[in-house]
Amino acid sequence: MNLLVETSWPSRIIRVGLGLVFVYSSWSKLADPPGFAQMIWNYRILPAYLVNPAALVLPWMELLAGLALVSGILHKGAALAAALMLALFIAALATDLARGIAVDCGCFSVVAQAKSATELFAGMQLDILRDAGLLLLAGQVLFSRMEMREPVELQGR
Amino acid sequence: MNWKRVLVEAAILIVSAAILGAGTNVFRPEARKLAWIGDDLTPEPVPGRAGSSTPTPAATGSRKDLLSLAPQKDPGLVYLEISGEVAFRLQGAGAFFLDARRSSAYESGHIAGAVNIAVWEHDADDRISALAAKGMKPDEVMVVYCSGGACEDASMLAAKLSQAGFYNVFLYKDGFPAWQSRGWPVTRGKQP
Repeated sequence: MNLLVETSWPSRIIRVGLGLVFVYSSWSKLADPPGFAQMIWNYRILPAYLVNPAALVLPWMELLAGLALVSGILHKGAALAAALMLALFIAALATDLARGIAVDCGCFSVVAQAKSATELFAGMQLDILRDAGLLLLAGQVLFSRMEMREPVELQGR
Repeated sequence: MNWKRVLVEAAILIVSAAILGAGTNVFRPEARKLAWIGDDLTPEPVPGRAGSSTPTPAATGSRKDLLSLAPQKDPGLVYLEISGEVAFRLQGAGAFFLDARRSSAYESGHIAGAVNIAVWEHDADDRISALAAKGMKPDEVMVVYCSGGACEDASMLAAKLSQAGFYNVFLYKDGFPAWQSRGWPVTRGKQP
């Protein structure tokens, strides 16, 4: 069977790195759905009936997209899904920044930190920048050039 | 690039995530389980059951004392915020305290005598229904709290209690950290 792989090493490293970020970010949310639901509720964006379903599905979405990116299986679809999630996160953070609602990002941990509103707003700005950076990486994975390789040839390189 | 293929791949991932999310929720322990659909508990005063609220409690002595100690509260309000001093006084008089935080936070320390109803956990509604079954009257003086600051768990719990018909709910806004820092009685573990 032939493998579809990137033509360049940097592209492969970016794909695996982005995948690892998503796997890592899914972890605490998978472990504690009520904690994540509370985080989503704090954003005051989703209507109440969508908060719990989102808290159940989004972490698995992150894990599966992460694993797909790391392994290379279905990874173009995963890059698209990752880009959509990141765009969503940026939009949510930006909305609350604009509305003056201070939220704990909940990106990598669902345990609320005791932070002042000022600290939270500063954190939200950094989170947006980080997500924008990750979004660029997801775009790179999505549009990276691919070629078919024989597995044997792949091992030889 | 083959966009159709990319979209199909993304759809496979999304459907798998939905199945896994729903499937695992069935088998989680109560404290980690989520209700499928959350209640809309936007903490704004909603009209309580004001009409039916001429309190004629067949009160024992201590219940009567408690009702007279508690601040005047319009039964139409979901809750009334109280200061630490009032909360402390009510705790001393034996008011029913409810901790709205997550069960893990409750176990690592809570106001002495407080019962845990973690609003975000799956069994919150069952625990509230159990209160009436245990003989709590609608005019029972209840004090809810969470972790102070911007935490909204206590006001959400107050909204749930109001929906269940309880109309003497007070909210201790400063919450557990402030209580603890003042050296007032706290307990650890699963028991009140």
